[in-house]
Amino acid sequence: MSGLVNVSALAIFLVFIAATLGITAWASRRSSTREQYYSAGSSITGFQNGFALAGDFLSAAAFLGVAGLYYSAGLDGLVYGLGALIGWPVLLFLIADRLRRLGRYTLTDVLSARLSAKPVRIFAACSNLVVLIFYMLSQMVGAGLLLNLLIGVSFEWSAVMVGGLMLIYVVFGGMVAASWVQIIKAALLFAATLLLSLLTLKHFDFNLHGLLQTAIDKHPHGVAIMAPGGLITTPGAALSLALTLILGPAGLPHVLMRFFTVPNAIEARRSACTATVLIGIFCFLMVVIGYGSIAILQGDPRYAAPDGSLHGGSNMAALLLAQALGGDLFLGFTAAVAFATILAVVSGLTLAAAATCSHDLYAVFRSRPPTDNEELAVSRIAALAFAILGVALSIAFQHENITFLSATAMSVAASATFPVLILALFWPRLTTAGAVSGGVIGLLSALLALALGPSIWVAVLHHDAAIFPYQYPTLLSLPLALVVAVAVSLLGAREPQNS
Amino acid sequence: MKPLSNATLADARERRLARLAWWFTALAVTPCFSYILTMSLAPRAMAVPISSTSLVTCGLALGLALAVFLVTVALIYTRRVNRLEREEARQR
Repeated sequence: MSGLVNVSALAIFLVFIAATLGITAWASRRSSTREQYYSAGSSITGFQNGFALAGDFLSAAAFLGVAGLYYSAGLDGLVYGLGALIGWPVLLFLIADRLRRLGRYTLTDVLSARLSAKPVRIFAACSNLVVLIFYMLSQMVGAGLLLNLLIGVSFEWSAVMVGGLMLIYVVFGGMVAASWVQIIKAALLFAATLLLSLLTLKHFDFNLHGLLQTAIDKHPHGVAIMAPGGLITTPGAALSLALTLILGPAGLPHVLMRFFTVPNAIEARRSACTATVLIGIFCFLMVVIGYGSIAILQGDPRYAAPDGSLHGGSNMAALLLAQALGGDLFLGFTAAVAFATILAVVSGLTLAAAATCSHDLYAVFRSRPPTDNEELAVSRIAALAFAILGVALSIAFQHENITFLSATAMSVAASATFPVLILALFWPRLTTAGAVSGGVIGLLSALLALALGPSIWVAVLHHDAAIFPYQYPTLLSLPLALVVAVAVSLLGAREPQNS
Repeated sequence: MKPLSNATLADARERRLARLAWWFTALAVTPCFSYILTMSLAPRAMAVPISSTSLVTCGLALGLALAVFLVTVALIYTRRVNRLEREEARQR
């Protein structure tokens, strides 16, 4: 085994996998109906769902990536750490309870509750699938690289392993298994993060000043790590990033779908609030871990090269800190948590994609409504197809710069899904033509601006300068989608409301 | 005087809740935009320590204060709206 992690880590991996497969076996007996498969029979409590929501949002990027960003750039890590938090108030105040009251299984149910079902379902399904494929691809490539680095398995086998496990969770356990895997993973992630923070503080006798002083003394940038490092420099780029981070989460289908797993609007609010609190605590803990990794790992030849770069790259900061403070066993535990994080997130994505195909698309093209069994069969086939697609694409794109993939997902969610959803929830004059045209314009303009922006036009296609100047296109595509949706609705005839 | 129908009451309640939701959204989103814009456009202001003896800069302190603020606003909103809804359910 050529990876970073030893036998004890592998044992912890196997225990986690065995436990989650046990949960799936238990959940499979509770996933025989459509209601149970898509929304866990709305039997999850607000507190439990809060953990699942926080788990959905705290991916490996939020744990390993943000710690790495603190290690290399200092305070800039906080901006991205806060990025996971600042979208939640919008979800809680504007979306959560209304979504729960209007929907059954998917976001599309909410839209078709008000508008003509067929065109809206087709648009929403296409938009959701674009978001989910890009989000999934970024997670799968990250998973493959992480497993390859941690346990030395080749990228291809890592991708197949993650794809196979997520498929088992989704096909057999449905939302019940996906939720409980996510809840357990979130609890483990918080335990690991809390323990790592406490060990870091204990290392400095709980003296935060001492920790920060050591970090400043050891880092090549010195006191500059306590200041913004200039990751974003123009007002347009900053505004576009802010719009993406604040409004993107409110358009992510796998996050929105979780609001249907609770019994009512009160529990929906409670779950969004619990997630906000948990992610807020996580932001604080990451400050300690981020600066702690600089203070402890910098200058130690076991973890860092003389120029300060970490063995395995800056994304390994949290894992190497765990090894430095808790030995191989704690490294194994933290690595297992990082792996669990990826598995839980991709399971949620696969379930959302399967529900979109079976509940939103399949039903539209049938002359009579499908039975529970027919729809569940289609959902399982869709999950299999989505998993194969995810594995194949991740292998094909393993050497590409994938940072643009998650940006694409968030930007498309903020540009195509969010404007249609918010208008459908709050503006009675919205028409089907307005919703579809606004959403399509938002989707296409976001994809086009991304293709012409620095993430693809320069980084992937190797042109000298980007045609669209910002990494995140939301500043252009979101207002465009809103204007088109409103204009088409106002210019067209009023239409009778479904409900 | 003719009593208000259930539909009218529900409509009024819905409008009141929507207004409250938009107010809370504005309250939460404004400091988020301000923080990101200030971090990118005025990095020097964010690099100033909060006191002469502290290593903690305005950027770090304000970022953590923003996290506390967002969590607090979320708790207040949830508590307030859930209590309102429970009371109305009891009255019905």
